[in-house]
Amino acid sequence: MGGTASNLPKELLSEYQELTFLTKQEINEAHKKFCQLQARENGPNERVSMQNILTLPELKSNPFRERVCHVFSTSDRKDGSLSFEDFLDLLSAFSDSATLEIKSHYAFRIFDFDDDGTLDSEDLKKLVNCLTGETDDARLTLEEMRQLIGNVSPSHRGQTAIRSASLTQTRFLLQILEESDIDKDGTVNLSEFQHVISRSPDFVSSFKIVL
Amino acid sequence: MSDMTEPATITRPLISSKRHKSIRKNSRRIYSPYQDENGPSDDEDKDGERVDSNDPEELFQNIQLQKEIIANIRTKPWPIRRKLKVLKQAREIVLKFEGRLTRTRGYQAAGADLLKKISRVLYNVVVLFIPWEMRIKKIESHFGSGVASYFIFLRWLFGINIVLTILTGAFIVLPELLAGAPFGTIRSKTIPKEHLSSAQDLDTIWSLGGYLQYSVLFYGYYGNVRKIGSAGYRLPLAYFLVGMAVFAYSFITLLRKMAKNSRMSLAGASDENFTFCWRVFCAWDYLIGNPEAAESKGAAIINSIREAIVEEQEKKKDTSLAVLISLRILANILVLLSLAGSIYIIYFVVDRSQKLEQEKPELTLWEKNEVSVVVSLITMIAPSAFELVSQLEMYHPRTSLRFQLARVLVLYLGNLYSLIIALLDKVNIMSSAIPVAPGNVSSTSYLATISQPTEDNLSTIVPDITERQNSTLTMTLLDLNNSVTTIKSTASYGQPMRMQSLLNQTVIYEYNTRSQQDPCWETYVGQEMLKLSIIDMIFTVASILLIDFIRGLVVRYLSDCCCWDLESKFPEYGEFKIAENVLHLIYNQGMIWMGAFFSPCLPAFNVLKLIGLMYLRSWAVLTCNVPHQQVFRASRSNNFYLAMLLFMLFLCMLPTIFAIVRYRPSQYCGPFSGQEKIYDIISETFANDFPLWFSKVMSYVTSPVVVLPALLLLFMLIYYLQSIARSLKVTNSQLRLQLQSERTDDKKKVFKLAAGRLQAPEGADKKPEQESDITSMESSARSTSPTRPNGSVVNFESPVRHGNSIRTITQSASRADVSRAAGAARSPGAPVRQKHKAEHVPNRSVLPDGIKVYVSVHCCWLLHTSAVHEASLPFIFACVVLTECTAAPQFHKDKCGGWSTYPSGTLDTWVAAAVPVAQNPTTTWPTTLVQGMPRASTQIRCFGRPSDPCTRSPA
Repeated sequence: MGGTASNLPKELLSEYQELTFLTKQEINEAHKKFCQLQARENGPNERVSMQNILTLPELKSNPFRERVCHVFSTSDRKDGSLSFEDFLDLLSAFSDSATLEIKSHYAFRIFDFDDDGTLDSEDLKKLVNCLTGETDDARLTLEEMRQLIGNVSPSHRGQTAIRSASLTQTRFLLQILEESDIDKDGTVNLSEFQHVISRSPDFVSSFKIVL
Repeated sequence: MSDMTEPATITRPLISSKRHKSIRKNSRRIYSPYQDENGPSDDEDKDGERVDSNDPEELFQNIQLQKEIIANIRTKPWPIRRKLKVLKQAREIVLKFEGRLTRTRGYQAAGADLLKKISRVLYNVVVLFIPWEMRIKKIESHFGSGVASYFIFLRWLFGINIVLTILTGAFIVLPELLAGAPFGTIRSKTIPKEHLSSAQDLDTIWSLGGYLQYSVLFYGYYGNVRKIGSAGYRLPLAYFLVGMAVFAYSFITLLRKMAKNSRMSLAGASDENFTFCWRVFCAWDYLIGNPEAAESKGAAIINSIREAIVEEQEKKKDTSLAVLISLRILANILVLLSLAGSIYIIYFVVDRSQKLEQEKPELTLWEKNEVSVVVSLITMIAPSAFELVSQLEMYHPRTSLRFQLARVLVLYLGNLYSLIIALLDKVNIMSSAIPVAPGNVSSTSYLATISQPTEDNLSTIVPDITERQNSTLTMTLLDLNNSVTTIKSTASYGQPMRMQSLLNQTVIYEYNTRSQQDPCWETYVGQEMLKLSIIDMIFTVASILLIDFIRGLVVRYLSDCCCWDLESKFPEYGEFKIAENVLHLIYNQGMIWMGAFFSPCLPAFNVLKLIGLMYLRSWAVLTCNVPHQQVFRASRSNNFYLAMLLFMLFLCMLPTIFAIVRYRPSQYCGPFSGQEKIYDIISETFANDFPLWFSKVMSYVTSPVVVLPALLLLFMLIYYLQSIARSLKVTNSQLRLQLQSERTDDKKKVFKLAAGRLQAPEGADKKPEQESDITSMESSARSTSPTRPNGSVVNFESPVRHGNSIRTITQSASRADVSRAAGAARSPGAPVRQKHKAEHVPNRSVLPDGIKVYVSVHCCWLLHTSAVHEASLPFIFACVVLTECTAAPQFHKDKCGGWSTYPSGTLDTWVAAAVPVAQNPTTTWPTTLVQGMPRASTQIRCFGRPSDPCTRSPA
């Protein structure tokens, strides 16, 4: 499976169709894309490094792009590099016809920043930070969050921005845990996560990536 | 796989924790070696063992199992290489052993394989033919699913219109073209002489007059001959039925789509539950690939999070209420005024055009198109005006969007309705203006043509008359006069009574002299509708080009030489307003539905229009639009769109139905000419073309004797369904309450247990517990013996059973410890495991009678992560769960109350899986089951007795 050939062998193609949710055209398209990326690698390499994968426009603006690579990578070195099969895995999980189960499973793994099998408050914090952006926008957000807090309880008004912002965040995280943590162990595990996700009307339609 | 196993130890908790869902999904699968993490060698060994037994039933079951694996492999969240391996193995086994079974099974398998391949090829082909798939995907990946939902909606409408076009085309237009009387042969198909000279003028064509007016485009062209062609195609009947079928089909597809959507988002009904989680977990639209779109999406997420926080806290209004309320009242008054104004303007314009038509022989281009231009202008301008007004109101953006949509919808409806009412008004005037003709000679001269509907009647009585009559069709008017008089004479000679009644009947019909313009009001309505549709299209194109494209160009290239920032301040780039655009589509479709009866080619025109719109819009979106600031959720709004469409369909159907029922069809044009009412065609067909008994039956069916009870029955049915729905709702809320109370119960239990542990005399302190290595825990758990010093085993006396000791094995080591320990335990490898097995197996047989073991599930989980899945503990589980469940059916309720708090009722799965394990101790415990058990706080009670099968040695 070198991936340098422009066309995939027929048997492999049908195997891939069997194993993923992709159609033949999609697999071929993916292969083309992957070969382009591979060409950018320095040496002859079966895997494509994370930096190169992230040049794909579909992933470029995704706040979780690095997590996505890490989750789908089967590399020994944990560098988030993807082989073609990993790439297909990624596309399959994000395809139209993938089931909610698969999608929510991978979503859980993407959100599980420390790979420990649960979403604890650290994970959630990182998640929110990822969503809101950690760069210059974040400051604005913190400021506004402070205002929010100020509106609610005037006693907090005098406090420093960072403190109250983190307070808001914790409040927020607590809210999340309150909602989703069924067994009350302070973390969200996969089944709880899937329970929450399965009730969401938007998840399946938005958890998609198309090449 | 070899390169896989090493990292697997580190990511183990993850991989293993995900597995339990497969068990939930197909609880039928009792065991599957492929869910083991044990490595390939183990799997193969086990397969070999199991398959080699020559029991055909077992063999068959195994093969079935493997097949199931093959079928479901896609739904496993594994890396592809692992899937490939598993697939190959499963296939091999199937291939190898299938031959041992009967030959027919082999053929069946081959057939199924072939079928699968064919279906896959078909699927590939079908995907290829879905129109605009790539285009939509491209837009989707730029702007996210919200914008794409507009295009998907457009494509769906396109599909509907295709079907409508096929309906009208195949059943009305084609037969008329092929078998109907050709152009120029009869009066309704010829252009009047005085119009012939101007029939080819661009001006006439533009206003759909001249040749277009006398073509299959409009109602008036269709002949009223009952049967046409050699096959005797009943065109008028077909016309009526197709007209109704258009509505019926639209209704059915719409409702089905809506039902499907609501089934999919049924869970969304309880949306208050997880607002926060959704806002975080489901916030990102992974489709977004455009940095600008990503930016705006990020901003929207921040907004929504903030919003959620604010909504959760109590809101204090700081703006003065009085000002706000007065502003809102003002805004609403403005909106109402503009609505009323637009309706008045439309009515006025229609009225004016009518007067102009009567007064002036020649109309200018503007005067002809005034109505549609004005309507289109209003539909274009008013929404923007509403948006301006809504800024005044200072609503929450979501609320203001809803208001905006409602207002625009009312506006569109108002427009359509005022237009159609004005048109019908005109129709009224038209038909009342025609004087009732006196029964003179020339009136009887029309008898032949008019009496065509009763031709069938006549033909049975006087066949030669029909021949003559048919021939009259091609004769000129003068000839007609002669022949008809002869017919009349012969007819009255033969059947005086019959002819007399016929005469009476026909004389009542209005008569119109040749010099007068045919008052074919159906054609007129159809013309207006088509004109409106065309002008609407032109305006849409113009607005896309002007408002979006030119504006985009200006902003893009003039921003450097301007004193303010064009891109972010005043003109900006055009936003793609999903909601307004969808509404416009709905409005457009409403026009089609309204006019389809009077202009059978309208759906075909709409198909073209939608195709054009698709390309133009997608081009415009990709080149010169930015996504809407207000993030519009695709899935939630889908049914909203459809509901509006349904509303529109209903309201557009009303005027058509009204016209059909209320007005008399035009006398000299169209398939229903000569009838009193359009729907008479049905009763006529029943009376003439069906056997007598059938019409009798029909008359019974349509009599109040049947209709009233049927109506009553319908009402009762509706009431019944409604009450069922209500009771389901109640049950739903009760279940939710129950869930909550169970949850609190659960909490209490955990506290109680913790308290018990503290009080226990030999309670293990937490320190050693945390540090205890995994093997000791395993063994303590496995042996369930209380003597291990560092296992966290707590005994306390049960008051109920004498001599029973209750053992609680809890493990509260943190996750991190677990994975570390797991890694540690993994490295020694298989020999260690073997040793443990050998050591502890005998212990199991000495379980005291009636022992009650509380085992924390967390503990089992730990056991599994250390890869001793054959450990006896789960095994004990299986037996005890099984025995208790078979002994006491109320196990569920009494003893496992805590379990039902778990979302999908995994208990059943476990019990089901425990059965084979208990019956056949040599099989492996399905490790995934242990994975699926909720952790920590949920306690499983296990009851073991020495007589249980679990005490047998598993080796």
